[in-house]
Amino acid sequence: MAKLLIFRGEAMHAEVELTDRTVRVGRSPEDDVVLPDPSKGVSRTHAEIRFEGGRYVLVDHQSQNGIWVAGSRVASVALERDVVASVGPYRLMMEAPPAADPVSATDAQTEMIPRVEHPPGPPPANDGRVPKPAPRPRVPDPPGVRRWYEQPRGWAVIGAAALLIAASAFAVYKLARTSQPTFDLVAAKAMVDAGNCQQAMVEHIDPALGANPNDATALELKRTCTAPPPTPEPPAAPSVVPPLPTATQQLDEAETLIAAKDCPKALEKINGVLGAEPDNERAKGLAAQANACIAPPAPPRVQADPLAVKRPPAEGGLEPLPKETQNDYQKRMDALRARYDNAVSMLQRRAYVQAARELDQIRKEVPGGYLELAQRLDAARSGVREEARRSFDAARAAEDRGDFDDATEAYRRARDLDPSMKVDEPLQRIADQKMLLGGKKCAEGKMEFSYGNNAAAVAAFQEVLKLLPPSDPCYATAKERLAQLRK
Amino acid sequence: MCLLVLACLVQFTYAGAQDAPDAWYGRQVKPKNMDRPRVFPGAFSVELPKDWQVISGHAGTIFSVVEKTRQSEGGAHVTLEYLRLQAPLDPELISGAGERELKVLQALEPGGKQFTSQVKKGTFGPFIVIQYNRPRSSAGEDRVIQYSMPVGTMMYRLICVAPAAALEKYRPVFAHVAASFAPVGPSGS
Repeated sequence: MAKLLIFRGEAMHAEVELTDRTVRVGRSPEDDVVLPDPSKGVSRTHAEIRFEGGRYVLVDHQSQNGIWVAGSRVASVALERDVVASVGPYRLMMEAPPAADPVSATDAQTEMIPRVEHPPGPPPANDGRVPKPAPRPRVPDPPGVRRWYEQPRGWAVIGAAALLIAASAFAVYKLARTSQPTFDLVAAKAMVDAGNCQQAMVEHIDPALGANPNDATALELKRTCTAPPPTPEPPAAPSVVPPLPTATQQLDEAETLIAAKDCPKALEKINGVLGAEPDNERAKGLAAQANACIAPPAPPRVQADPLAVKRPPAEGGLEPLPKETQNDYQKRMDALRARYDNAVSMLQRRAYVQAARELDQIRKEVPGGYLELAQRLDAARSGVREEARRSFDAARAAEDRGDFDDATEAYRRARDLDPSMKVDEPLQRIADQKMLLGGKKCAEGKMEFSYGNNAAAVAAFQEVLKLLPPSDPCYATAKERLAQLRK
Repeated sequence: MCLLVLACLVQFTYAGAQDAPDAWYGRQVKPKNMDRPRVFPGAFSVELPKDWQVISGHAGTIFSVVEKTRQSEGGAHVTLEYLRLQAPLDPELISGAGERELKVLQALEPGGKQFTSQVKKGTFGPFIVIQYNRPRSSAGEDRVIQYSMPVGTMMYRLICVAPAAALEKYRPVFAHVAASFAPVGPSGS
């Protein structure tokens, strides 16, 4: 049976009996052969050992650090007797097969070592060491046959074979140690990175340099390991905060900056001073200088706009102004259209006076006509006249019921709406009536006051104040009496 | 003869120039049925009928004089009341005051009728004469003649009452009493 020997450093790590079954090698406890490596130089499933063409082949399982043989990374390697493959810090090599055992040889061809099944839970207590395979079932002996240990010659053969095997193994081992470099610089780097410089030096770096003193990778790793540890930085001296510049210093700097035409920066400094000392006259003066020297921003470049093209008034067009651009012309038309629409809206709401006023203003601005301005203006004016007539009627009704103030207001409103409305006579009539009634109320107030009927006197005098103008003598009397009565 | 004609013309002209005599306001030339004037210093003086009984008043009544008759009813009487004004009544407002006085009387005498109101001019200023009839307590009607005379801050009301049937007998008396009413100063002058 073929046996794989696994070394770590000088120590034997494990012995694995190989069959024709593929064996997974890696750091994971799930692997068949577990190679613990806290530095992670060994991948979880680093490689497989396959039985191919009567020999065992170590195949890289897309590991990070790969399989190294004789200083070269290889994708696979046939595990021969004189081949040492490095997987991380481990070295794998085949042990020389023992003397042929008919039974074992037969079994080796036909039987597989059952895969070690790890129970779920924590890893096994042997720290990844490959567990021993289960005992094979023994083949019953045929009757009448003597076993080998029952024959003296058998023991002799066994002894000779054992000696031969031991000698061969030792020879192979020594040969491997001397002829094959056993260093692995990738593993060494992983060790160095993990801080295990001593082991890296012993196991890999020194052997590598022994094989090739100019190996740059090995030299670099050695330099890393032999470099003195970084000396701790001396404790930082207590920080000394530089004193803040005084206002005078800042202004001096600002003055220098102004002289150097770096006025924005100067202005920053000056503003800093003014923030703390708003009344600093020197800062104010320097600020004026700085502002003066800051060049005004360049005026925005004016896009060339074509000159206005006149649109007909019936379409809402206006007469273009001299040298007016199309953009300005359009804005002017939009503004006028908004006013026109607003006036039409007022007309629809029967706000004839406002509509007529706005439409009339538009007519003055656009004497040549504009949309349906003429018709709208006629409608508005007609509405205004109608409103004036209604106001006149309301005034007459108010006059009849003696509500002279309302009547006067309504007559005046009618005249304002329609200047052709004749309201002078009604207004004079109302004035006469008010004077007459006011006189009566004044007499009544005085008389009631004389009789001591003060409530009636107050009512009468208040009417006097409403009916008579302040120029009337009784107005003053009423006011005086009211004041007297309120006391 | 010419002188006689001239004298007649002068007399006629003078008579025409005089106001027509007021039946309800005027002194008698030589009244034999009137007492000497009674003077209320600081207020007024008035001449009252002779032999009528004077009854002192109270509150708003100054006095009453009642004709002495054999019957318990049937005579005339005169009462003087007063009302203190808050302010002197403007003479221009006398007509409005007359209306007011009339309204007051109409309210106080719901059984009254034939109300009339006049503004007359007396020696102390304009005054109001209101007349009306009212039923007597027994039979017939009384005629009431009220003289409302504002004097300063006082409104005097001289109320003369007589049987309507014998009104003509009392008219000169009432006219004389009213015409004799005159304000006087504190000394009685």
